[in-house]
Amino acid sequence: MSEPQTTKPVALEETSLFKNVREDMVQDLIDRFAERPLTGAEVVFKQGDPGDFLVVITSGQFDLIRNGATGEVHLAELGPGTILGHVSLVDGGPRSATLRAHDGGSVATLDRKTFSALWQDPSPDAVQLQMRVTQLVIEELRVANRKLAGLLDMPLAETPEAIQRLLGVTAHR
Amino acid sequence: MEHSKETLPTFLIDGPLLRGVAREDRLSFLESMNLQTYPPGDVLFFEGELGDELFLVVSGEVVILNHTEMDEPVELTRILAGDFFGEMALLSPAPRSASAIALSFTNALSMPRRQYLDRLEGGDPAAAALMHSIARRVCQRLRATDGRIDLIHDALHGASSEDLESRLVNLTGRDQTGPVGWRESLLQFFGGA
Repeated sequence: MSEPQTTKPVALEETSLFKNVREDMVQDLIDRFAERPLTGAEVVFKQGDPGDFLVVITSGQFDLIRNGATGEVHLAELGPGTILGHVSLVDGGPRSATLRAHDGGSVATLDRKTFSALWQDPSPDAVQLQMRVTQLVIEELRVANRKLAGLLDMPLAETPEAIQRLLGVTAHR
Repeated sequence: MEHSKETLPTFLIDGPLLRGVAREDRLSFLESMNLQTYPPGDVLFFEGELGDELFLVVSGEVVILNHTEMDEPVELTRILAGDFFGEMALLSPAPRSASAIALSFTNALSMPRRQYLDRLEGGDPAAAALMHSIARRVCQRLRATDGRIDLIHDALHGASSEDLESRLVNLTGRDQTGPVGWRESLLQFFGGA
């Protein structure tokens, strides 16, 4: 996940995925996405599922949830502009979390076959998109590394609540 | 320093780094890199510096160190011949998150961001393959780091201040006293990936 978040709907072409892609080529890339409207608390993808599509949130608010040994953990509240699912598309691994709408909204999706074709496409605009996806995972790794480093530097006197704050999670019983 | 394919070991040319790329493109990419020798103790870069080169170790050994709040720097990993480092700054400029120091006489190839981007934008298949290798590696590390964070989270979930210490002891399998003790033991438990 990533990116400047708003509560207002965003157009797919305005998201950071197309940063550095030439304007006249953006439309060609956008045409490969499918718009998926959501109803109620619909699940966009489920933890453990094969990661077979990329998601860009275009409207609505969403919860990113992970099921661990101690139950459901709320990882983040996400809004329009957020890009998800790129890690699974790059490494072929399963979904690491569940994405669920608060109450409706919409996402733009790019299926694995189309993503894989773009990933291998040597044209300059496809390469810009590959670079953007790679930069997203690098930025996410930096955030995760800082979280872990911060956690390892915690003094013993800190409370579990503080650890949870540091981890950026709110635990639900 | 001048170098040619004669000085490049086969494991670099045929290694997994540029897998799927035609041999001539692999050679062209590697030969355009800058070869340098670093004596033991030489610093390739310091934590916090704004460097943007990728390094590829040809021979020797490099240690990656992190300065935490603890007095002693923490060894994160060692890079041996055939492996690369500095790849995150190459693709997404930011201060170096750790220092890199030669442990023995080390030959390393390097390529700065500008040169890399010129090759990538010029349609070099080796530059694109390298980006894909880096993306896969970063994804693996991201999953591993998230897993470690989850592990700590699960271990500490719902703990009161009183039983936090015993949970940490369970987590690390060591009896620790004092703040430095648990940090050290967590670092040993999770560190060195």
